[in-house]
Amino acid sequence: MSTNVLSDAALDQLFRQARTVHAFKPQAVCDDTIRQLYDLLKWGPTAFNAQPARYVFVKSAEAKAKLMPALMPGNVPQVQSAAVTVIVAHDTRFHEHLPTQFPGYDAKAVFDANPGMIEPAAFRNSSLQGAYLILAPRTGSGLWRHVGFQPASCERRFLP
Amino acid sequence: MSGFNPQAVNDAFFPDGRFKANFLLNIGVADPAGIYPRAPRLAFEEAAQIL
Repeated sequence: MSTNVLSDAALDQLFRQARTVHAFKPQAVCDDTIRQLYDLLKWGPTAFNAQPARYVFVKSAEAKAKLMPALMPGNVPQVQSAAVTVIVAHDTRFHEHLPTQFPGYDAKAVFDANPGMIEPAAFRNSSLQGAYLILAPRTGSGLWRHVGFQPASCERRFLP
Repeated sequence: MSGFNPQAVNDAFFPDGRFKANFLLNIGVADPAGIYPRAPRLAFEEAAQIL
């Protein structure tokens, strides 16, 4: 693996000029784009490679309606206007995947023997993974690779 | 976003109790009208130290 210094323009896009958005244009986000975002963010590091985050991409009107009653009133308009609202959750039994995800060491046994470690590890590492999901769209993922053959109803762009 | 009732989200989306909501995140095409003025950031000296 080689390491290159990203251009100033890339750093602006990822960090310096990237902004939290509170209102959205009425354009859908393709399921393919959601999958591309996951395929990028999944490489972000977690302790023991535990990957405790679970994501629910709330996209349909039915699913949005299910989410609305749980929101503070001030957040309702932005959730209504966003193409997708993601519930970043964690799996309280994430360690069951460790034999395949961290095969070099029996980390599942560590959590089985110390159940008090599960919740803090799940919360800490799913929070990290949520941050990777914040950064992934800012890379422009979903913007470049499918240009030309996305359905017109889906949007390839995240950045204004 | 943290402005939600996590128990209500868990009940609605994770009824078997295995998954627990941490936070919510919106994704979509930005409407520039919904971008607030840039907020300041803490200075290095306020946020960090090198030992």
